[in-house]
Amino acid sequence: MLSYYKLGYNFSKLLTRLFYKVTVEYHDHQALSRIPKKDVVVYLVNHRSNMDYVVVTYVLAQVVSISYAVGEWARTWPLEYIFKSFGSYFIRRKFRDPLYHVVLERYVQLITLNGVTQGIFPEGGLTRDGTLRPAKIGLLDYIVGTLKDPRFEGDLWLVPVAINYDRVLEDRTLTRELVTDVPRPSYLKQLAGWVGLLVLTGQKQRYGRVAVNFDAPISVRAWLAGERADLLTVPREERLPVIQQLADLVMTRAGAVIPVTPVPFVAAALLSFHTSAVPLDALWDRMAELKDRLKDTNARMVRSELAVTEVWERAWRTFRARRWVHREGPNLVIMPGARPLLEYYANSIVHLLPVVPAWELSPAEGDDPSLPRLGRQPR
Amino acid sequence: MSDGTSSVSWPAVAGAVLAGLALALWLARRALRSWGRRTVLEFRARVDRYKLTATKRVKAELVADSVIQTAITRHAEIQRVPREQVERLVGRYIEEIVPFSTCSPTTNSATTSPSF
Repeated sequence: MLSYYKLGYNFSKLLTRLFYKVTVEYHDHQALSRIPKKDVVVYLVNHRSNMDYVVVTYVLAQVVSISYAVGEWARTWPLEYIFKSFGSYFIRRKFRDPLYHVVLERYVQLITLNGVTQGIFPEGGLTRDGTLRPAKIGLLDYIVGTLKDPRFEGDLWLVPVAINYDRVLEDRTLTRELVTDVPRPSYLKQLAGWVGLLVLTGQKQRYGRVAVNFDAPISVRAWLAGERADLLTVPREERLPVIQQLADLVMTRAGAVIPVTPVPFVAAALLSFHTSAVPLDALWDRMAELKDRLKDTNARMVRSELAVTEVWERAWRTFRARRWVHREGPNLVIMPGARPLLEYYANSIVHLLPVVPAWELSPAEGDDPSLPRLGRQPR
Repeated sequence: MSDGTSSVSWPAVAGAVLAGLALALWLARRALRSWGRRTVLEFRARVDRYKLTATKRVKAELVADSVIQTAITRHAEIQRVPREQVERLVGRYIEEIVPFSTCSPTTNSATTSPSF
């Protein structure tokens, strides 16, 4: 186990740094430090990319070793072996055999009872349109159920974790599902493609930044005492809506601290114009306006000390490299094919932006119906 | 001059090679484990003690779990199948869910407090 820990750390460090620059921010560092040793911590992470597992493992490696709940997608060689070696367990989300769920529930409660720190992705899958998906509650219900066990004397702490990227490795394949009906290639094929591209081109700058923000932990015992003290004794049908409230609270908190990295920020600013041609000066003004609004709402802008022109330069590297936007004199021209991707990135922070009736986020929903547009993922 | 008979004892050679491989494997595992332990101490990271428990023990604990036993009985009654068949199914689920561990049940690696 300890040797796997070291291997896992080096593997995650290598892979994360190969693709990204990393920013980590703790909203309430002291609160995390104060969690008693006998208590159990569960990290609830928004799910944007399969790199989330690697990035969060790397970021937390110097603090704690996490057991992830991993979906069925990773049950292929060698991923299954790697994930299991690091203490992760597999879950079949859509498998309906009640017997399977009893076994899974008891396993989750067993490790929780024994103090194992866990990481779960409450959305239950990758976001397709960039927005946060509604939280699923099955695993959280199992974990909270541990409090019923008289042997468990400590508390459960839920830590909302928000992650955002300048480039999600699977962005094209994820958005393709909502733009066309073409099935996406397998994960192994995609991974081989990304690594091959990096090795061949050496253009690691094009992947930009990944940022991870940790919000203050939520004590489940304290939350239950305030909401529904008898929750653990009521029937499942009565219990689940309350667990849903808890999951929604965590997701709202994660959404509030989602890092605003340059690409999503500039994508949102670009799409706030109704036209495909945007004057650069006007874009900078809009970015300054949005930045002020983000500051007012206490949003977490990465490198907020930078001037908007510098933020633009960082995003421009990606836009230029991926041919999303062309520069023609004083104007920027958004390429039609890039619109769904720009929407995907803008959607990651859209809930932080002010509602301004004067402009819409997506011009694809506006005047020109011939432009490709990003659909909405099924809820 | 050779008299046509081989003086090499092949079973002995094979035994020596196998012993060498086993020794190399043992040394490699020992080195990896100590490497990992040094890293944990260096980072002051928290490795939950239960993650060092042998897989066999975790699986046995699940098999003996009263809730799972009750579920097996109920499932066998509802589906009208032999209990042994349901137990095998549960065994497969446990096998699938429980991750690996490379430690013996008596492993006593120290855990350190998290250092945020």
